[in-house]
Amino acid sequence: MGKETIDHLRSSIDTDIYTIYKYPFLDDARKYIRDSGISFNDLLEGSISTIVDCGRKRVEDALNGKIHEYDNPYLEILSYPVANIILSCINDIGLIKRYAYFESKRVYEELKKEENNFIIKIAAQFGLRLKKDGEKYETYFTDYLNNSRRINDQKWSLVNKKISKGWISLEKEDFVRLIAEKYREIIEDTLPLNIDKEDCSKIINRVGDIITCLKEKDNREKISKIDSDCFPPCIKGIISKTEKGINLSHHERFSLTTFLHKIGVKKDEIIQLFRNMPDFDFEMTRYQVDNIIGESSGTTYRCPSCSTMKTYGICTTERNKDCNNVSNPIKKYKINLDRKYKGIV
Amino acid sequence: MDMNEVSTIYLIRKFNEYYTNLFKNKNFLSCIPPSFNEREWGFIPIRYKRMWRHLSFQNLGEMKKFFLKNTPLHLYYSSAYYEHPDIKKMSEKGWKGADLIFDIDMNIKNDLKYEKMLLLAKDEVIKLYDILKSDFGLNDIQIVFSGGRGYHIHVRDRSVLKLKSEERREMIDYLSANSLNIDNVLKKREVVGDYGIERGYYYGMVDSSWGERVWSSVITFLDEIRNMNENDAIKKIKELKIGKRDKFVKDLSKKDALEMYQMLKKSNIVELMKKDRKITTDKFFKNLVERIVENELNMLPIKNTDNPVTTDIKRLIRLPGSLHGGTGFQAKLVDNIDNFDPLNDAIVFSDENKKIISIVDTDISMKDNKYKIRKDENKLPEFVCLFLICRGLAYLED
Repeated sequence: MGKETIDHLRSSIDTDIYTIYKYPFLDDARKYIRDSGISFNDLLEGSISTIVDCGRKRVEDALNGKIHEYDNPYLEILSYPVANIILSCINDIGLIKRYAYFESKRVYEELKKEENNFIIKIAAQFGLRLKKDGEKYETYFTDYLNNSRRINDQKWSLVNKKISKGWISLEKEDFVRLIAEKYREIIEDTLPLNIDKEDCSKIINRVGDIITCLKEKDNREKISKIDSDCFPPCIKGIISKTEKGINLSHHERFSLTTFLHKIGVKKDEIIQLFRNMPDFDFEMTRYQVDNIIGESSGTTYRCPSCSTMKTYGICTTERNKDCNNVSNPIKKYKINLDRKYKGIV
Repeated sequence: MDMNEVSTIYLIRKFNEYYTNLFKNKNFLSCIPPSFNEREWGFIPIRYKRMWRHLSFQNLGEMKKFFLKNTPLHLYYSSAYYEHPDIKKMSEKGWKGADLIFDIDMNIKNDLKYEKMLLLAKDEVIKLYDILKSDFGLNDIQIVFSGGRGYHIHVRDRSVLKLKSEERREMIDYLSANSLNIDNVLKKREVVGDYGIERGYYYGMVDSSWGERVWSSVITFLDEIRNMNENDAIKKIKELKIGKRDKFVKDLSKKDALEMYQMLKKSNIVELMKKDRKITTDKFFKNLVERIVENELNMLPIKNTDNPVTTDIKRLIRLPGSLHGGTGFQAKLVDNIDNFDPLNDAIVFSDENKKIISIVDTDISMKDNKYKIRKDENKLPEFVCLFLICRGLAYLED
């Protein structure tokens, strides 16, 4: 199959393609892929190199922190499953999260421009409850909570919202953000796909440099000198989230920064840790870290106590039994250090 | 104090009698949580005070039989529904969902007397119940007196069962409004005239549920003051205390309070506020409104929930209808919270007099009576005796 196939498809497509290429997750898009006659094997073999290149571009853009740009709608739809295959074969959770983040951001920007009817249709496909009331969109609070929990912005906290009988009213722009967040979650939940190892090796050959790039990035991000083995479970939990590229809540960011600062980790190293965040923004992170460690505000914040960590939901140990009943994560770190290096048990 | 043998035997007998009657009672069925066979059960036996958990029961007969054989001092079930409630490893139980639980506990203010504490807790429950209904539109809400210091609210509305821990925390944040300050409810806005932006600004109500709630109580407050006589009004205005923030460092002077009262009386400022949902920038008056807002932000939210109880989606919670082993009171399902009086309605034991040795001097109000308890020997109704034994304050003579 080659260029003629693509041309043939182009001629047989109705106008709807101009909507669905932006949203390759739509049922219509799936139908299109099915009708294209291109098989999973065709994609794996990479016999249609333009499609594979395009899929690969999607992944690269995410890795480089860019929103994917496109000019060829026909290719885009087909490149979507290819990107999924590539991501599944590389099988790096951090990369998948990053991809999900940028892909959802792209969709968010597109959705903002859409007509109400189209938004209603997509919300229905994603199972987001919606009541239209004039210009306002209303969604049910559980759907709101579920899809807004990773957005780090006071504006999104429930307490600043108008909620009546369970329904929250939102501007269009915010409602489509919820759709985008839902999409992000769906990507994260579906990937990696279960792909045969042999099949994967065919794909991997073509994306080797992505993997190299990913590894370099990983190495840069390891923290040195400090013995992270001895961190208390709460801090370990947060760090493992950063390693996986899972977005942190405000409280988690705050707790991690205050903790690391207290035990002497340098500012730059703290910032490095946040690099893996899907929404990493260097300037913003530096500003926030500065603020917390007191370089800009003059106030150095202390690491939250264990009971506060419990309220935040960061502490997951039961009745402190794993933590020698200490009152602060710093103390637990010191106990662990002592045990390890002085042999005290 | 370790309980002596006579008291222990007595307690077991009384608790066992209670459960025997409870299990025969038809009303008991309303205490049993739905899908009880998908829940983990746990209890603390009277004699060996250690939690025994990961129990599960396939039918009620089995459960009754078990708890008559092993009389519980405390009896719990999980708010969560599981595939395998009896597996010991939490991660293997197969979590399917959980009731949404709130624990209203006035623990923090421990300088308060017990009766007063329970009254405050009741006010909190009413506030919470109203917001759960009006804002969240939730149904299937049970209010239960915990038998101890407060109340448990069980929400079994289908829409909340799948909520994760962090989503429940967001609800707590909403209810407690901890992150709210005056800027979230009263926003400074520029005045825009016919010729573009004019100089000046006003304060408008923020379009959020808390914005509305605070705004309408500000209006109610102003209306109240307006309808008072001068002295009462001045007193009430001066009671508006300084908030946590250093913004209002000074208490209002009597002169200021009087001026504010007079202004409220003779101007139509409250009517305008009702109509336009904003106030003009008169600094003097704004100072008053800021104080009221500050005050309402302390009064309106629900501040006394024990948050980890709500965010823990695998918590064990006391069974309604069971006895609280620390008081001997019933954890009572409340039908009508307005009329509910825990120190009457949750008392289940008889008033037959009994001799008991107290180790303290104390006063207790129960069943509309005040009991003066002196150290050493007392003759007291059985329900008082059991309360004291459960609290570890008294024992039966060997």
